[in-house]
Amino acid sequence: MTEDSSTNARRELARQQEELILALLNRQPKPESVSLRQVEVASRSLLLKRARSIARMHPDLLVKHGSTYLDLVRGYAEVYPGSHPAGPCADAARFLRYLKYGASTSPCTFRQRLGDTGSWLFWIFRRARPAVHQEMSL
Amino acid sequence: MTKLGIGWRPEIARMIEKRDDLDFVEIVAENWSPDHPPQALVDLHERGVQVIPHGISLSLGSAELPDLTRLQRLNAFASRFGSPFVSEHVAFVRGAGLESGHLLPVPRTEAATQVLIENILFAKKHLTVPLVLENIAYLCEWGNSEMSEPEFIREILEATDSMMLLDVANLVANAINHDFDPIAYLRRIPLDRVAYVHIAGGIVIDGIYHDTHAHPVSPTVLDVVSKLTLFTAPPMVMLERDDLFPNESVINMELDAIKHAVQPKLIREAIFA
Repeated sequence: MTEDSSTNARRELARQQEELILALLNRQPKPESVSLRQVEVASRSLLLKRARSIARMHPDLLVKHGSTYLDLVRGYAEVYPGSHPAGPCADAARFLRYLKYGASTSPCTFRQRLGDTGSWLFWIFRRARPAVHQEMSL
Repeated sequence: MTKLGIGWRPEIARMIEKRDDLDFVEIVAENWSPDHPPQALVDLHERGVQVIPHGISLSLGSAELPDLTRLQRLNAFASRFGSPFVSEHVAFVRGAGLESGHLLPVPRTEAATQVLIENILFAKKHLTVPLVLENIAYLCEWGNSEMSEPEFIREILEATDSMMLLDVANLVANAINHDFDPIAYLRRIPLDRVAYVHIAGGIVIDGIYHDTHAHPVSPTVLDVVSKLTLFTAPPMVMLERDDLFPNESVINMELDAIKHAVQPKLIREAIFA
């Protein structure tokens, strides 16, 4: 690969990757070359993975915020769309600062959240409330 | 004889310590300091258990060259534990100045593949031990692919002369989500380049398989592992469990099931020895 062709290939790759990441983080419409459904599924999966990652560092957050936890993470992701470059620990620490200084919780019921995220929420909750979820199956 | 291993996590450190048939553990390099590794890991290493550093953020498939600091961290781990190699994913995790927080697929075009190959060669040049490359699970796929995934994997491994970390759970996830035959996939990748195998659990929600590493290993994954051993004897196999840790007996049962799944090849070797 010549230097010119490598530079061009990197530029094109950067453009494609930027489009996909921004779409996955709900910052702009999906790229033409990727299916809308797949982007929606992957985007939701990214948010939930981030929520689980934070909960793993601070399980008490689930107990404290209960059914509004996922909304808080969603609000956090709107302010900070990308995970912290230093990794999950730093992202969780930043989330705590966001809760302390920047979040305002909108009221919503557990049932509404359940309708939105289905059994994923059970999964997150089961970590903090094992007794409640022992009888529930995914 | 296939070596048995597990992803080292503090939540299961005691269980790992008690199990005496583990030949190696894998650690996520980003989660620990190579200068101050957990004592339990040091103890295992002193007992003769191999430690494999595993990266999750090199972003080999990015448009930019891999970050030297991250490469040096992998080197530091390999040096600390005398690791025979380090591993990373064939993926990108950042772009547009944002961290996606997840492993994303590289477009399977000739141009993107060449960039990936350049990046891997750059990484290998700066690593002190071989770099083993892992296939990822992806929920969204690029529509502009110019080659199949097995062709893509083969081209990368051969062009960079690298070994592969075959993640069977990722393979099964993709086979379910993107509707292909995992065994046909195995037939088309260079299995002689498999250095080790990842096995993990997942869950199907709304028809989509999610590679969670937090649920039991499915019989389908174990079946593919078993079939893999009909084609090749993987040198090392390991279980990955990252969340919702069950009690020790459940993880021990999963490890036993993995040992059992790699038996067919061992039996064949015994017959033809």
